[in-house]
Amino acid sequence: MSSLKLSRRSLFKLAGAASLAACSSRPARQILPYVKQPPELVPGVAQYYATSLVEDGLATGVIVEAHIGRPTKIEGNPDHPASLGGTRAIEQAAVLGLYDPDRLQDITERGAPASWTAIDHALGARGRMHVLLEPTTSPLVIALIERVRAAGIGVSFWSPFERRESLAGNAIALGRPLQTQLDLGNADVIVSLDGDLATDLVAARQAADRRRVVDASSAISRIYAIETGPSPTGIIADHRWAVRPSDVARVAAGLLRGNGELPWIAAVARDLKRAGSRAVVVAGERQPSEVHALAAQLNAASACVKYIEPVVFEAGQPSHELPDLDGIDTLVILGGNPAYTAPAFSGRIAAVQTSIYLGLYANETAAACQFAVPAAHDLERWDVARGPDGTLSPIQPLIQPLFDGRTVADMLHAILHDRPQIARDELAAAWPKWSAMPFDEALARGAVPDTAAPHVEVKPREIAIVPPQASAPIELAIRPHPFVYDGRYTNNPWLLELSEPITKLTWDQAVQLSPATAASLGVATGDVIELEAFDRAIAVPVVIVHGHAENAVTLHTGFGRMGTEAIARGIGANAFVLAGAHGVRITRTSRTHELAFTMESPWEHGRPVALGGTLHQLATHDLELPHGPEPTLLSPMPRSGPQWAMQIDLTTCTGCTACVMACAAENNSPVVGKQQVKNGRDMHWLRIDRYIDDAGAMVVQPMACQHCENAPCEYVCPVGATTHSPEGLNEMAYNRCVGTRFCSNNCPYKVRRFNWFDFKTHDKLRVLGANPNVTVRDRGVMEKCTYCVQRLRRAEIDATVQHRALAVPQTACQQACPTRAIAFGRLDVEIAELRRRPHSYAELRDQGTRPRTQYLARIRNPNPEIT
Amino acid sequence: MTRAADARVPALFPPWTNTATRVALIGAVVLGAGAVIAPIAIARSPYATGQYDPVLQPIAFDHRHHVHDDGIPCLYCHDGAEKSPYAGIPPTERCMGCHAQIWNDSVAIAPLELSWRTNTPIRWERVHSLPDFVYFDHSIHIARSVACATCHGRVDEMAAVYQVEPLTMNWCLDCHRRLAPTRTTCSVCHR
Repeated sequence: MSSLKLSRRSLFKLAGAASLAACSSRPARQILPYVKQPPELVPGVAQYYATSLVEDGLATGVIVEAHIGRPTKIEGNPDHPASLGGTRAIEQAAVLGLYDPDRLQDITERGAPASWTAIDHALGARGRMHVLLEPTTSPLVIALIERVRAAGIGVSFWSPFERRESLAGNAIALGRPLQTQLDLGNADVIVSLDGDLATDLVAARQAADRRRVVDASSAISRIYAIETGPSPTGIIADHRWAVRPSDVARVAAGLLRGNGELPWIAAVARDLKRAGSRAVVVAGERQPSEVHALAAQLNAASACVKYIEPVVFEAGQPSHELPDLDGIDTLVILGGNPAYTAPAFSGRIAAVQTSIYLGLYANETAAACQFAVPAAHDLERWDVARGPDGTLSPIQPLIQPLFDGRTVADMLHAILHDRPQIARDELAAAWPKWSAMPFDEALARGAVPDTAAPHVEVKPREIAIVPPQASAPIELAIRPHPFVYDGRYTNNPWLLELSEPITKLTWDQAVQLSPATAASLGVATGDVIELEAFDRAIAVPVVIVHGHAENAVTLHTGFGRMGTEAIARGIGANAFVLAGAHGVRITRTSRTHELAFTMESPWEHGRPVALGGTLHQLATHDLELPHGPEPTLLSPMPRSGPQWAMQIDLTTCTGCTACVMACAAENNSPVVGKQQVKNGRDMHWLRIDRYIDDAGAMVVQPMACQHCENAPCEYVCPVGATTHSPEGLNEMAYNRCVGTRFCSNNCPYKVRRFNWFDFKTHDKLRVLGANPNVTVRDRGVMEKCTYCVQRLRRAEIDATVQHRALAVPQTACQQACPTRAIAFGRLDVEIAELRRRPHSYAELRDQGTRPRTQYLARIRNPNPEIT
Repeated sequence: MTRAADARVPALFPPWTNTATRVALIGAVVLGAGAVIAPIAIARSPYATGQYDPVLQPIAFDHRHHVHDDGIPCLYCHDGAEKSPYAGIPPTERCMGCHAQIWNDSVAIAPLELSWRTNTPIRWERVHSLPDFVYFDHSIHIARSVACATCHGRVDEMAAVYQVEPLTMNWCLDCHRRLAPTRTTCSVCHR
């Protein structure tokens, strides 16, 4: 025993020796190769897989980038007719949704761990069963639903924002609930009745393609937007009128008659008539069926509208209502969150003896149900869906289910007591029933061409449609939030921190109202008001929005979440409580609420930066745009290699903010939280500035590092951390940066971002979504747009290694842009023609910075009849 | 007081203090310079760069035997070098391609057998390690005809692999300035 005795002295000696050994020159790092390396995989080389993301049953084709088996970035699939290569912010953020630590991870019974055996047992119980699904287009699921129905089990579908009114409107006007398909490629005149030309990726692209101004002789389309609150559609429109929700129907009726109470209606109606078959009226899904019926009649002669049988299974039929559950013993809810999106329904769920919920989160519906089963994310499952036009779109997993999630098909099989099958084999076996294309080829392409639903030839009936006269002193427009939608994405911090396109609000919900309405109510931005309808009230802070209709309020859904999602919980109030109300009673409260905006004042204060004019002004050389390089005393920077440059078209930019999300996803931008956004410390390299011009119209301008040839930031860096590359890139070497922030102070565009704190994520799951080709920045370091230099270097290396010419890569923002408003390439090749256009201008040219990113001024095509 | 009386006052500092002052001044300069130079020197020394430090591996893999006796080229195992940023360590499967047949009962390769049977990766110790903010790409260097031995030394003559070059930024730039003068801008390696 004595030999083991350690004196105090020798203990310290040993401890000293141990600590010395521990601080060896470098940390020991290990390499773990595969045991069996998949033949298609080379560690270090990204892999790309085509799959689809599904929302309300409809597929958007995407290409997912994966690094050794973990998906990191999502791009639109150019071959998919619902994407055309573009994405919304929601698709971009889906990767973070996959790696969400708040996801439901285990089967639970009333919150306590349970097993699949318990679910099997519950499904095997006798009694009447009902299955509630999200709308679906999957032929695989539809076949199972038919078997479930044959077994005497009721099936219905529910999602708050699925197409309902448009189908009902078409049923009135066309006799059948057909689905409207827009084809805006040939549209000369577009009238949007609260329509959405921005988040519909196809409509956005087609509309933008008709609005690319080359010079004054360009024949661009004309867009009229009639809407309650400003929207991206109103932003790209040539004329925009703010009307109360109930007035949209009256405008539609006026357009059909050729005159109306408002003076401009006759002029718009004449313009529609002149354009003939190249005119189209687009009615928004939140408008009542009568507006859609009127739109169908207005579109009688239009070649830009086609009708197809609804792509969603049984859309427009009674099965798309919430069931009343009388006499139901077992309720199975597969996806969605009806307890939140239809608050009255949670009581009905509670009355059912056995209830099982399949979902991604332990949300309100999971809380109302007896059992909750983790669902597989779209990036974790095998399935097939249809795009909005009916195109068959396979869904393949990028990763094994992280939490053993199950699919809708798995649950339906369990209900049918089928023997478990391998999902891929099941899909591959059934595939020939739906398509002649081999399964593997369809998987590789992500969409099966020529599977779109055939057009139905139908003429609108000549029936008088009476617009609804429902009106209230203060009208209410409930709209899905552009990013968190109906609440299903509210736990995604990327989407919460993304600045809402119109209000520039982050991390919060606010009710939008016009300055005059706010003044009459005596409220200002940040004051909390109570909105009351049907004896139900919610308290929401106010945000004053210029260009909003008077005596109306717009409220976004998706907040007031009460599930266990840590991030979503406690933000705002549930707007679905007021669903169905035309008007609201507003009561002021004495409370105020702090709101975090990324941009407060919409005014340019007499120094216009987002420039624009009319096509007529362009023709008469009436547009004064800062053009060409400002003289300089500085010696030019040495140039060699491709000269990178960017051109952003403000005419086609809708401000949808997909680019900002794409940039953050590609470049590992951290999330800073509400308080830091309020302090002006948001970390997005790209922002969308939103201004109101002299004419009162909203203008948006994407703003990122301009990569100045004479960059003011470079002169003031004391440590040479920001330097100029021979290709014209303004570079940031993070590990040289000491954080003086001189560069940011000297930047006239204010596009540099500083890591005031350790903002990067430390969550073990979330870090899996990081791009391994971009440094994760630490505290005290400046950062900014790099023109996605990691993609440039990859392209250069690939060209050299493969002995071929350089394939100009796309930047993340450019690739995501649904309207192709962002162009990137070499100054003397891809960008040369754009730079020569008469409306190309350099932002803050008088600063002499010679920016490499320049803009095409926003050109409008107003109707000369309307002043 | 007279001047004579003044002169008799003993000197305040004895003569040796002159030397001491000189020594102290020079010492301060040397120490000051040393405080700057020493960390720089240490950072570049083999102690910090890990040069010439043979790394012990879970399997006593001998490159001399595999290259010289068996004539296996570098890229047979490190095949990522031509097409990927990483040269890569071969999967167990590739080792088993031969070792399922030869030396399959050797104690030396027992960990390999274990990895194969239990489907567990072998935890190799990293020899050449660059910081995370450096985006080095093997494929472009191979395409530009940089030989493996230029950076890795004669691995074929090493029993246990060690790092021959310092892998400091200065060492990278030595070549880049000489051979690829346009490729010295920061974002070539840091992004």
